[in-house]
Amino acid sequence: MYTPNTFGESIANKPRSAAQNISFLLITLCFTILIATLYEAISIWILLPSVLAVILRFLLYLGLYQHVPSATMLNIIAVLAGGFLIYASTKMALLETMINMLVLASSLKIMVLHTQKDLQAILLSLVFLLGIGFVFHSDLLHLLLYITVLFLLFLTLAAHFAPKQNLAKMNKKVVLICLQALPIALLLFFAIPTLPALWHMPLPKQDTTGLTDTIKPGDIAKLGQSNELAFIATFTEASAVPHYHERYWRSLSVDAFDGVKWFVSNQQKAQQTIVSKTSTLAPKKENVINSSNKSLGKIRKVTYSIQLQKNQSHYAVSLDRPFKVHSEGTQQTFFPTADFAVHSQYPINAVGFYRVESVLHYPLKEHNLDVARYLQLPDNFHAPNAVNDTENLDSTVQHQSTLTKISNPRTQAWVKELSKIHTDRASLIAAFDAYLLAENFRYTLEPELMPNDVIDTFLFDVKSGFCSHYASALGYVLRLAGYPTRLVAGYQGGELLDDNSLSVYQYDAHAWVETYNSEQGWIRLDPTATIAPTRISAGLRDALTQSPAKDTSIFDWDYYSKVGFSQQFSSWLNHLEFGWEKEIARFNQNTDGDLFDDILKKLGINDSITRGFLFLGVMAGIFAIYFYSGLRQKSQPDKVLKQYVKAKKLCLQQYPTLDVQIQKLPPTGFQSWLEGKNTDLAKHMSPITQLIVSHLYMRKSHEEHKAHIGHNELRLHVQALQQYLKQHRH
Amino acid sequence: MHALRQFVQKQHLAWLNKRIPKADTFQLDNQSIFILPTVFGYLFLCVTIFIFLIATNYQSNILRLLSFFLLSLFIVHMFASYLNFSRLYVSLGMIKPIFAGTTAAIPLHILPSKTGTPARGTLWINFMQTQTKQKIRYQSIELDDAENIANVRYFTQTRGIYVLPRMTLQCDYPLGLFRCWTHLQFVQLITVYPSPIASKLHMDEIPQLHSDINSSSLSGKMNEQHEEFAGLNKYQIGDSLHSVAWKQMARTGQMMTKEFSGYVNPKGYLHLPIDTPIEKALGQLSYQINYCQQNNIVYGLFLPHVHIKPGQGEEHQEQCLAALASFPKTAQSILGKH
Repeated sequence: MYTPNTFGESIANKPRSAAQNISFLLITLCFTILIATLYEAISIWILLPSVLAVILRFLLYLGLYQHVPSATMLNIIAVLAGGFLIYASTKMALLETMINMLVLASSLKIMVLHTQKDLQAILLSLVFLLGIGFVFHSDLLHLLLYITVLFLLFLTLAAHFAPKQNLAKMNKKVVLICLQALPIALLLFFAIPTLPALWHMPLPKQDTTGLTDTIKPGDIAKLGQSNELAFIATFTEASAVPHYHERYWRSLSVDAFDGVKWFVSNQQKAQQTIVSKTSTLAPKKENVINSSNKSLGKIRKVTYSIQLQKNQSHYAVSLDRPFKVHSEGTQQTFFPTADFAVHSQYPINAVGFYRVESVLHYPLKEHNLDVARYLQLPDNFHAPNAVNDTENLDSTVQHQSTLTKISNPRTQAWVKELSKIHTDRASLIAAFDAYLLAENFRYTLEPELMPNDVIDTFLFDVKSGFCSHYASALGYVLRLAGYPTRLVAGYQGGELLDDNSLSVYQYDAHAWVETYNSEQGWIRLDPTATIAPTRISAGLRDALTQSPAKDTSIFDWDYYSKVGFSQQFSSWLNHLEFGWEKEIARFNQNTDGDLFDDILKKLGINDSITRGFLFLGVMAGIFAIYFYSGLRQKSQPDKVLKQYVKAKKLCLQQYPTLDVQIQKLPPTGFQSWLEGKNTDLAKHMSPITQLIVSHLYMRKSHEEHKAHIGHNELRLHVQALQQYLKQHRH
Repeated sequence: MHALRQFVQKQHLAWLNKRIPKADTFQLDNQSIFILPTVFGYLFLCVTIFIFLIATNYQSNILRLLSFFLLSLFIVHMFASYLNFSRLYVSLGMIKPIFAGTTAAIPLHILPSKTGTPARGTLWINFMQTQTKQKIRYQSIELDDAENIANVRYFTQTRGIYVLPRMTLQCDYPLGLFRCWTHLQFVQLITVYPSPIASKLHMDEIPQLHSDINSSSLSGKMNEQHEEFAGLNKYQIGDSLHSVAWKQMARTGQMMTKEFSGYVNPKGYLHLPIDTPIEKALGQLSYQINYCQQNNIVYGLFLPHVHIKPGQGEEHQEQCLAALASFPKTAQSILGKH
């Protein structure tokens, strides 16, 4: 009667899983996704064995290949890759070394994946890798991807620990556990205060994205091809979103030019680290409204919050002219600099948040301006009619000019000619603009390479370029003519995300020129506007109809919007991303806009002890709900079981003196005992036993369907048994 | 050291006896379930803490959320593990007697849970063996399988009629972060007959007093060498399978028994010889009983505490062997007391 059960192996050595094990495949899949998202940080020598491992595992699963690499082979790979890792670790950041180590270890394990221990080891390292993945990517799409991977990892475990369960049930179980864990996680997240960084973590050496402190004509063109989000600005209700032509987002000003590139001099760098003294001295409201900058437009105060994507540099963005900067979130400290920009204290390695009060069109006047610095030229050229009001300009210029070769001779000659006719600044600029227009200069994202005398080549040969070409050229021309000038790098434009928010992408990167005037301060000049007015009034996309952005990836929904389909979807995603960054990525207990805090305050709970108890109480409540819903009795009185008990009683009546052991035997056990005692009775009992066994041990899915039939059938059998016993009594 | 370990084991068992008293069926509950994280669970917690540290140092909210999620998953897993294990409802089936030195298959019935939801996952089963130092080997049963009876192997060298040692059940479901286990003491007895030790058949015609047993001798001694084949008879139920003419059967398909001339069907009592150590003597008797049963010899058993009249058949054999197993007590006394 007993059906022998097939047993697995003992725990000590249980190769319960062949190469075809579904959990092995799942974990390999997770591994593949993770290394795909982290490939930038993984060195090629580590990537190679991991790709090998993935291929091997898939082949094993498909049964196309049957040999797991030998221990010797594995050791050779381990030693080679490990040796490389030790060698390279001196150059890599800690986090990168960690990723490479984890990837190497996992790939070696995946090659020989065999036991439960292997699986668990890989799983833990993958969870860890996934965590590190969030340091690199915090956007919504990666988040969704990682959530999927995490779920798959748990599914792998579930598949391993309940191998006979079907996938749908396993899925349900894992989803249930995750959903149960989520409220607790959120509760912990909102209730446990954020700790300050315990120690400084070296950052992965990532390329800085966005602007750099050197501008080589053509450089920004590369950014023009990037669809990455640079920042999102949200304006307060009171301050209307600035017009397109007002959206000049200053990041940094560049003062030195060596003939090839513009760069930030040490003096300028020093200036950028100084917190602007006027930062707290925002102009009084009346002043702001009454006065207006004649040349530029109405002076207006705007307040906006910036959500800045990480760029690994110090440079943040602001509209001219920033007065008050308030850092939000715990990550970064932002401050206004002496050169009218906003910078952060540390490289921006995570999304940064700050609020700025700017006064648009407010004169950018500097005290004690070192004019000489803004007149530096790459070589020994003397401005013919320099209108400098500073003292020893000549010596400074001579000191600066170390180059023996005369750079951009044609431009120099041209400016010499021009300044003879145009003796004031305005007319010189007008002449420059006129030249650009007359010569049909073009605006392009893919400028030609100009290796030597870039400004000469640009102005007289190529006659097409990106904003940095135009800015460089004008800056150089103005300096040649002896007007203090500098370049400003930043972003220009932005798309309306909603009524109050602008999203600015890397392709909005822009460079323009500022020239100093003792009355008005720094005046913005944008030669690009002359050539491509739409660039300024409508943005890059309209200015460049022929060349779409190139640097796109699968995860780049912006690309799709450009391609034209699902514009709606991409804007919806942008909103979602914005909300995600704002609500979760930015969430910070210290800010006053905290929903959780507000609720508690409204309830009148302020002291931390009561809060602590409330927190514990809610936790306990959640657990109690889980627990008791799990324990809840689901079964009603079982009709079928009743019939069986009746039949068993009838049988037992035949043997009044029986020890308790027999009475408590389970159905099959009782049946086999009965067969030993009374074969005839056992024959009658056997169908009843069969029915009760199939009823009791039926899997849930079949139960409802079959229970009804089983009941009727059973009743008939029990009746037959009753009759048989009656006959025998007489 | 050894004494200390024994003392600890003894205390542990005593504590278990109080906590989980023996019974015939068990619905697992908070009295009987033990739960602790597995090694994997502890490592999982370490990873969680590590992620939290990274989250703090990089000031990443998402990472912080992830670490809290992993932590809450860990806690929820504890509840899930416990709930699943508490759905186990088990009892033992009839335990067939075995000979010492062989492995018994103990039928463990997984009954449907009282809550209606069946327990899931892989159940690992083992006996708590305190004496033997051999490595514990677990057997597994998939609770999601259609099968609901696990035949748990039980190996023993000790003859007797006694309760099984505590049965350890454990389960890592659903994700292996926690392990639930229990040590169950079932009331069911196992009868372990003495291991047969080959010996010559020793029989006495009439049961005598102890002093006389030695003198009365080998009258019913079997002598296989002197058998002579005499012919075939039709097989009847009860005939020894030893005497079935298998070759004949293969040819004709009819079951015949070989008849031997000079074959005397001896009758008599098996008894304990005096000069042999008691366990060896019991083993020899066990062998002789089997031999008699196989060869259709009518035999009785004469032990100091129990006299079983000559007879034949499986029930008779079981009775005799049980008497050997329970020596020096009677099987009835043990079963009755129980």
